[in-house]
Formats: sequence, structure tokens, C-alpha cells
Amino acid sequence: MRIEAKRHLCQSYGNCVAIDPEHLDLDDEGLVVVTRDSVADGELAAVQAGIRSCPVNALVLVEGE
Amino acid sequence: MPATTVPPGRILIVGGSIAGARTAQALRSEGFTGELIVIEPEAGEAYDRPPLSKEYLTGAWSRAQLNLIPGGWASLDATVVRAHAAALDGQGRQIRLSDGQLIGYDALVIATGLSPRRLVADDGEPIGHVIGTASDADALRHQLRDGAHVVAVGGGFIAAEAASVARGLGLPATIIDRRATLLEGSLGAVVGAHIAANHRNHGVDLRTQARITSIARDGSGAVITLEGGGLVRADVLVAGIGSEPNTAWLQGSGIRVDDGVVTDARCRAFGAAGVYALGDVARFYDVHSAKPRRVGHWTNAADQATVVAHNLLHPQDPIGYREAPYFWSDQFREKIQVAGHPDPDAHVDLLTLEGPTPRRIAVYTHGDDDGCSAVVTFGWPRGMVAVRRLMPLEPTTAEMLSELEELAAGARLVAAR
Ligand SMILES: Cc1cc2nc3c(=O)[nH]c(=O)nc-3n(C[C@H](O)[C@H](O)[C@H](O)COP(=O)(O)OP(=O)(O)OC[C@H]3O[C@@H](n4cnc5c(N)ncnc54)[C@H](O)[C@@H]3O)c2cc1C
Ligand code: SF4
Repeated sequence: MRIEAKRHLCQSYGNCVAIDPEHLDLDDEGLVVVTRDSVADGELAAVQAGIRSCPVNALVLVEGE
Repeated sequence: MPATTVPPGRILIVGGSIAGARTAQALRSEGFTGELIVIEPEAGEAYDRPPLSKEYLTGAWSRAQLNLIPGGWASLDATVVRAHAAALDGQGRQIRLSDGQLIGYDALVIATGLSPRRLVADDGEPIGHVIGTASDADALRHQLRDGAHVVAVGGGFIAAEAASVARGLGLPATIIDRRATLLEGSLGAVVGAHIAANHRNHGVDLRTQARITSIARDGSGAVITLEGGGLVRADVLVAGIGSEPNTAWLQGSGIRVDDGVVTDARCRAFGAAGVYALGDVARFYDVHSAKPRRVGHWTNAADQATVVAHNLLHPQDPIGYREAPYFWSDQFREKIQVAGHPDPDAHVDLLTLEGPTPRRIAVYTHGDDDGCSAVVTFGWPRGMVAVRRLMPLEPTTAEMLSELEELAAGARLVAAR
């Protein structure tokens, strides 16, 4: 599984980064960046919580490496 | 069934907004395969509320952009019943809907949120707009045209955002509030004065320390009389005067209600087994302050959903909710973000941090130990991320400031992938 960010949707709320700093950060413009996109099995729940924390659904989990 | 040890077979969620939708999503992503029923009177898919007084009110966003569940309720295999819950029988584990239908449950999740208070005209009937639902926002948006004078009553976020949207659309806007500054109730007088000045700079006519003595209907608008005799004529009147928890349906159920549904730190309600409450309607036991608190912010609802879902599915290994207080507001294209508890008695410093882009922040300090109780950032999302990372460590104000000064000074670049 891999995290994908739709940066054009991001509204800089930062919720996802607060929940999942292992994979996500904001850049200087305040838009989300995926700092590590691969999701290990044990991380799945935390990653999904980070994704649900986004009010505008800017983050998605996709299949594959 | 020993309900305390076995995950429930049928979970009933009352209220299908942020708290309800996020609970349903968390249940399914945690592997719940049982029956999921959602009671929600509003038609359509679950939608987000904060944009109702922001991007959706300006017309920049469509209804589809508000969707909370990417694939909709169907993707969660949830049955949505379009009705109001009218009564709860906690002993018999069933609820009665407004149409008389009875629905049983193994576990019940109360997520009915708040309803905004309305202004009342001199004739005793409600008057003006509120912004609680997408239809409320639709009705208001259709009036925001042809130079209409928009008058928002109340000094909270809804009034401030409505005025900001009106000015953004080029309309004259007035705010009438009892207090001396804006957002004073939630952010205190120092930050309140800063925000009020920002509104004045953007052409909002602020009538502070004003008391309304009369609201008379005038065509589709209203004439408002203030104490001392001032008159304000509104083409469009918007109420931002607070809201009430939707708990009327719980009367007589035995569930403890006291300005919201009272819960323990695990989001369990009192008075009946297998009942949880979360989001705006809940008054949860806050482990931080050791007091029950009701919080009307988005992140609280979404974070509690994770706790409720976990506790429903792992009754033998329950977790507690520890609030990481955070909310935001958008005014005049600037994001105001608040982390922590901006205690009105705290000492507040309004500062500008030097750097390539000067950053305006407010820092709240309480007590003798220099503890930082809250930080407000103005248009600096990256700074707020640093604040939210630090806040759980209970930093002193000096520690918080040195972190933020460093961040503001160095333009640290993060490589985007
Ligand atoms: C205009 C607006 C702007 C906001 N802006 C911000 C912001 O900028 N930042 C922020 O942090 N927060 C903001 N909020 C607050 C945030 O939206 C709420 O915290 C959030 O909506 C809480 O979600 P909830 O699901 O608990 O309650 P609600 O969203 O209120 O949903 C409750 C649901 O329950 C349903 N319901 C009610 N009674 C019954 C019944 N008897 N039977 C069945 N269903 C029922 C309702 O139809 C509704 O769908 C804003 C809110 C509004 C209204
Ligand atoms: S939560 Fe969503 S909107 Fe907020 S920073 Fe993350 S991706 Fe952007």
C-alpha cells in the first residue's frame, strides 16, 4: 500500500500531519507532502486514521509499492 | 449476550455527519463486518460543515466537494434511514423513529450534534438565517448579491466568517455583538482586538458592546434597534449566536444529559449499556482538566470517532480519549489556527516572528511555571504543525517560542515527491 496526496485539494489544515508525522508533512506553502509513501503492515491503522482526519479527502491509499 | 466482551452484531449510529461518518469509516477499516445502520434525516451523502460558512458560502465549492466519505455510504455497506430518532429505550435496546418505526441495536452511537439558535423578531417568530446545514448555506448564499447589506449578529466564528464572505463578494457587512472585540469568548480580548481590527481594515462595520432592543421585519430584511437608539437596516440577517445540543429525543431514556450527552473518557454514555456519544453533542470527561467538557470543533469529532470505533470492537481492550485541542477559522483569505486551550485568564503575547516571511502569532501563558496553554497562528499552517507536535509535551512558552522562532527564521525546504 502507498499513500498518495492530491495536493490541489489540500487546505493546509495539518490534521493528517498531526496524526501521522511518519509519512506526512507540510511544505513551506503549507501544502501536504508525503515524506515516506510506503506503508508497512503494522502502520496501516495509524495511516488510515491520518487519512480520515483530512476534512477534504486529499489523501488516498493506493495498491502497490 | 455479555455485551461487555463481545463486539456487537448490529451498530446503530444516530446522526450521519462528521462524527457519524467518521465512526462508520473507522468501524469498517478496523474490520467490523456486522450490520451498520445510520439514522440521518438529511438527504444525500454525508457532507462537511466548516466550508458552509467559507468556500461553500462564497460559491467557490460545490456540494460534491463537501462529501465526507469518498465512495459514499454505500461503500461502507451502511443502511441509511432518512428519519429523526424520536425516542430511545435503553433497557430494550431500541430507538423509535419520527414515523413510529422501531429499530433495535446491540450498540448505539449518538452523534446528533448541535442546532444553531435563531434570532426572534418583535412578532415572536424566528427571523434571519442560520448556518447549520447545507440547505441553510444554500438559502443564505442566494441572498448574497445585488449589493445586499449583510448583518451578522454575534461575535463568534460564524458571524465573523459570514461577514468575511460578504466582504469577499463585495457586499457591505456589519457585525453586531455585545462584547468589545470579536471571538472574545473563545480567544480572549487581546487576540479578539487583533481580529476585530482586521475586520475593520476589511471594511466591516463593527458594532461592539451593542445590545439589540428590537428586531422589526422590513420586507425580506429587518430593522434592528440598538440600545441607545442606533438603527441598523439589514437586507440579509445572519444569526451566529450559538447552538444547542440535539438531545430532546433522549428525554425519558435514562441517558444522562446535562448540556450534551455526558460520557466517560471512553466516550460511553451513562444510563444504558452499549451506548456511546461523540462529537458536538457529547460532554466527555476530559482527562486533561479532570472535568466534563463539550467541544464544538471538527477535529474533536473526527478523533473521538477513532476511539468509539475501537472501543466498540475491542470491548476488552478499551482506550480513552485524550483531546488534542485544535480548530481553525478562515477570515479574509487568512487561516486562523488555534491549538490548546486559549484560557481567558492566561497572559497573551501577540508577536511577530522575524524571517523571510514575518509570522504573526499569539502565545498564551498560564500559571507561574510559564506553561504554554495555547498558540494561535495567522496564515502560517507550517508553524501550526510544529505547535501541534510540541503541545502534547506541555512546553513552556520559552520552549514553544524558540521552536517557532527557528522555524520562522530558516526557510527549511521539504522536498515534495
Ligand atoms: C457553519 C459551520 C462552520 C464551522 N467551521 C468550523 C471550523 O472552521 N473549524 C472547526 O474546527 N469546526 C468548525 N465547525 C464545527 C464542526 O463542523 C463541528 O464540530 C462538526 O460538524 C461536529 O460534527 P458532529 O457530527 O458531531 O455534529 P453535526 O455536524 O452537527 O451533525 C449532527 C447530525 O445529526 C443529525 N441529527 C440531529 N438530530 C437527529 C435526530 N434526532 N435523529 C437523527 N439524526 C439527527 C443532523 O441532521 C446532523 O447531520 C463549523 C460548524 C458549522 C456549522
Ligand atoms: S489534513 Fe488534508 S487538508 Fe489538511 S494538511 Fe493534510 S491533506 Fe491537507
